[in-house]
Amino acid sequence: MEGAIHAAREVPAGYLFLIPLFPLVGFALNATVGATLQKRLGRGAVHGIALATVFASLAVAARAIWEVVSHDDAVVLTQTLWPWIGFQWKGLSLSLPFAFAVDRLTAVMLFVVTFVGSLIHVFSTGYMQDEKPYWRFFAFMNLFMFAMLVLVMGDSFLMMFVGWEGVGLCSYLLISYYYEEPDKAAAGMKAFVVNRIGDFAFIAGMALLLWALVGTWQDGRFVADAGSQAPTLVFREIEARLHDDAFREAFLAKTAWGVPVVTLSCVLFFFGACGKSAQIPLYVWLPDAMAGPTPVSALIHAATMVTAGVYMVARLNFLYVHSQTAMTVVAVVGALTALFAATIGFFQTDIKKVLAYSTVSQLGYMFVGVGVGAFSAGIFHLMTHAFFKACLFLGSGSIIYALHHRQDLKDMGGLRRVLPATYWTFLAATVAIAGIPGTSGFFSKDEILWRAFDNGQTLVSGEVIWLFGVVAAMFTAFYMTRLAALTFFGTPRADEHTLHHAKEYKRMTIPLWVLGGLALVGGVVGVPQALGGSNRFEHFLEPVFAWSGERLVWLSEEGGGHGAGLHSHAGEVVLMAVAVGLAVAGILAAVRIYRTYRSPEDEARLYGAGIHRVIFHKYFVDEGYWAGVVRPFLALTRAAGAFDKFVIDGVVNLCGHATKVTAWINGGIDRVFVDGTVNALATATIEAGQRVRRLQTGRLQAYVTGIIVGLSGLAVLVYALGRG
Amino acid sequence: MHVTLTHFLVLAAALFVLGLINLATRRNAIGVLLGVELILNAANINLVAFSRYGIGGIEGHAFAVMVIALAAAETVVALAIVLAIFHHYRTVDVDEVSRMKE
Amino acid sequence: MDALTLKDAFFWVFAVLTVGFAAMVTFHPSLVHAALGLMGTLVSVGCLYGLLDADFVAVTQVVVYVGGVVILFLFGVFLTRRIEEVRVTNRTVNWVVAVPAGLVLFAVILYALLSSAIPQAPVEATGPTTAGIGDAFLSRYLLPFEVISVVLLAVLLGALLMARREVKPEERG
Repeated sequence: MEGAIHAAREVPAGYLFLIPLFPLVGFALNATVGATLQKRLGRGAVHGIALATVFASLAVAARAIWEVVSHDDAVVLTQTLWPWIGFQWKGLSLSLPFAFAVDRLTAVMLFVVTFVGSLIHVFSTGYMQDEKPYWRFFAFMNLFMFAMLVLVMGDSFLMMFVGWEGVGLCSYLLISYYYEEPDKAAAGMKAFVVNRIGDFAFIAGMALLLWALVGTWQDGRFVADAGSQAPTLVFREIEARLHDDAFREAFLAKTAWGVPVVTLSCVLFFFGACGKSAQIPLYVWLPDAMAGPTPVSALIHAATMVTAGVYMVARLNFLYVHSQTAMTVVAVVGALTALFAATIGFFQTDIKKVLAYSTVSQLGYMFVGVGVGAFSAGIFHLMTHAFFKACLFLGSGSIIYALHHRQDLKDMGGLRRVLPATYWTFLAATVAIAGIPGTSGFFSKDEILWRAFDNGQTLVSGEVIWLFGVVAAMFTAFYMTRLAALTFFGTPRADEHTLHHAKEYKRMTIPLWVLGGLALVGGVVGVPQALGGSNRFEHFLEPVFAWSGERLVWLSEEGGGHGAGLHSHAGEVVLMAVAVGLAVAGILAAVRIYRTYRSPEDEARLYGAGIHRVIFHKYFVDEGYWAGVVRPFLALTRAAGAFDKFVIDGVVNLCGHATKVTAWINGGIDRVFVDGTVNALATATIEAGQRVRRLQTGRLQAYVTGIIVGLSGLAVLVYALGRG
Repeated sequence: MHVTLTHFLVLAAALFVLGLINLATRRNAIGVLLGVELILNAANINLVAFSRYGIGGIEGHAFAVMVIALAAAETVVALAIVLAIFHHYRTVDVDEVSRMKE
Repeated sequence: MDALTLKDAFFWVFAVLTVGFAAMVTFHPSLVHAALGLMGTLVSVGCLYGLLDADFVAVTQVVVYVGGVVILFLFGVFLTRRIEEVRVTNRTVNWVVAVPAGLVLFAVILYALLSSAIPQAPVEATGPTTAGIGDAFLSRYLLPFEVISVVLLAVLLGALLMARREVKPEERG
């Protein structure tokens, strides 16, 4: 078994660079000549470029995925483009190539990114058709695809970081797409700033890991390990080194500030993931990010970018499994976020805000999955979530487009007949996210919940995490049903004119049908054994996580964990039944309550004003951050400014005054003694100048005459002297 | 007395000095340019004569041709400047066009 | 004293003509006459070139200088002076200084020339020089040749730019 795990065969694949290159070319074209193309040839040229490059990327990615799938053993397709970074320090030399690697985990991500990305690009050609800066939208979308592909295909931390920052930038650019509206520009800024906090942790974790792999700190100085290898940031190399028992023991024993290095760096990485994947406490930017165009919300803030954190934790599975603390942190934060965000989803009145909190909540599930060691389950949920959440967002986009950019639930209702394609696909996705048996969401969510319940290594008991998750699942079913009910059922609340003109475009409905279909049946790849399936998805990813899985089992047996769970198919089925029961209960409750339209005031009356107020205002977290973080920070800057103004400026001014006084005294001396001399000299010079000035007539002839006279004199002199 | 190299050189010297005096005495900008042409011709006579009397080969001729070309170019530019000055000051008297002095 | 050969006679004739015309350029009060004097000087020098077996240079002298430059000068003179002013003298008192100084300089040069060892006998004439000059320009002196062509182009443009009359709006059409 050990041997099989080690043999992740590297297969060179010279075409990998094409996958991110195509969108980059699309970006370059649209960014440079897009405006001209749009003016001269119309929008078709712009989205022609964007779609062609994205689909080309999808085609190449399909080939890469096919190559990964068709090998029976675990292969890693690699391509090294050029040597990238190299430096030497204390006899250690780090050299990193600019390289791509595609293993089975990356293959899944590649599929999600390129496939869902392409569909959303298609949808955008309809949704964005009235926008003036059409080219700008597609240029940034292509740039995002490029960055995201670099993120998932990067062979090392640094490559991943390049993509990580790139998607952050695109997220900012696209949230602020309508930058003329101050609140939307502010939303982009908020996303960017909050992400920076996470990114800082990412960098810190990366630096810590880089040096911890090859040395230790003693008394504040770095000491390289005896006989250490060259430092590295390449994922596969780090994992291979950890496979070595002696190295691993030494590495795990290292501490920084009294904390094991592996725990510290994993927690830092996770904090970085919290920023990108909108987990507590850094989730606040995601709901605001809904200011961007809806396809952006679907692509970046639901299907791909926000899942980057989950991908990262899964990618670093070989590190996380060595730190119970870090894994517990991941699982607990995930569970808390899942429940917390689900409750906020209850009373939101903006259709996109509901979906945003739903995304936060679902991301929490994914973190629960990777946090309890069910890496493949987390990635599975990532994939199914990409299907149904992209479908939901695109559906909401279709609604918003039909209603002339109104996205408040009070303007909706009864859209079932007006937007049939949207209705059916939205319903399919809602069923999937609610976890109705047979749908994709059911399989992935229950896999996570079961593994959470069954896990034996988190420091918090698995049952508690499971409870959080299952309650969140019930809430999810509730608020999603509410959303569907308020949108599609009841009597229409939009005006006649709008409803009459509302229509669905083919380029918007086709992606909806595809995604809606996948939301329903996409789970078949991961039917668990308890239900008679073979969980092909887990088997597919097994080579990536097998070693971590073994380590995990070993760790939980070693102790520290609270012991193993049920370990039986029967137990799994029972838990599923409980979860499904709760979800159905949530749906039925919502159907009962929202048979008719309920305005926020009705809801306040129904649930109690206090609870409604707190939840409606999202637990006042934004206000809390404003009062607790932003305002103190601003106050600090202002205090620093005041300090500058009064204290530092005072000192400076004092110095200035002192100098002035000294200068005045000096000046007196100058005036009397020095100036006397200087003035005398100056007067003499002026006098002399006045006299000499007459020689400078400015007349050409005078000058030439001078030259002749001088030349003659010189010639005479030379010959006179030469003879003498 | 046969004509020797010295004869040509003395002739060139005379031409040179006349050109120089012209430069010094003409007030008209175009007149000044005439002087420059004289000086250039003096130099050219030297070049060709030296070449004929065995100092340097064909280069003397080549450079004489170059000097002629450059002289023509210089004349064109100078005249263009003169015309521009004339448009501006309504005079080409170099004594009056001495604003750079101030 | 050797007999005066035809060549020597030619030299003296053209030497006198050259200096005489040059004196006219320098001392004639009328600018038009000065320009015509320059033409005479240039033609005479051209003849001297012929005497020195420099056929190509001689022809160039006549074609470029006499045919081009002098005509240009005459245009310049007429363009910048109203006709009635053309004869107005424009002498300055500088010549009181310049002429003696020039004479001194000439004397020194003369002295230097006469006291130096200068080859007195011409080498064998090499026949037509055009081919040689062409070779020189297209081999060893290719770079100067090209530079000069660039200079000529620049001059062409520069002269156009500077001398063009600014078209005032009311003069248009």
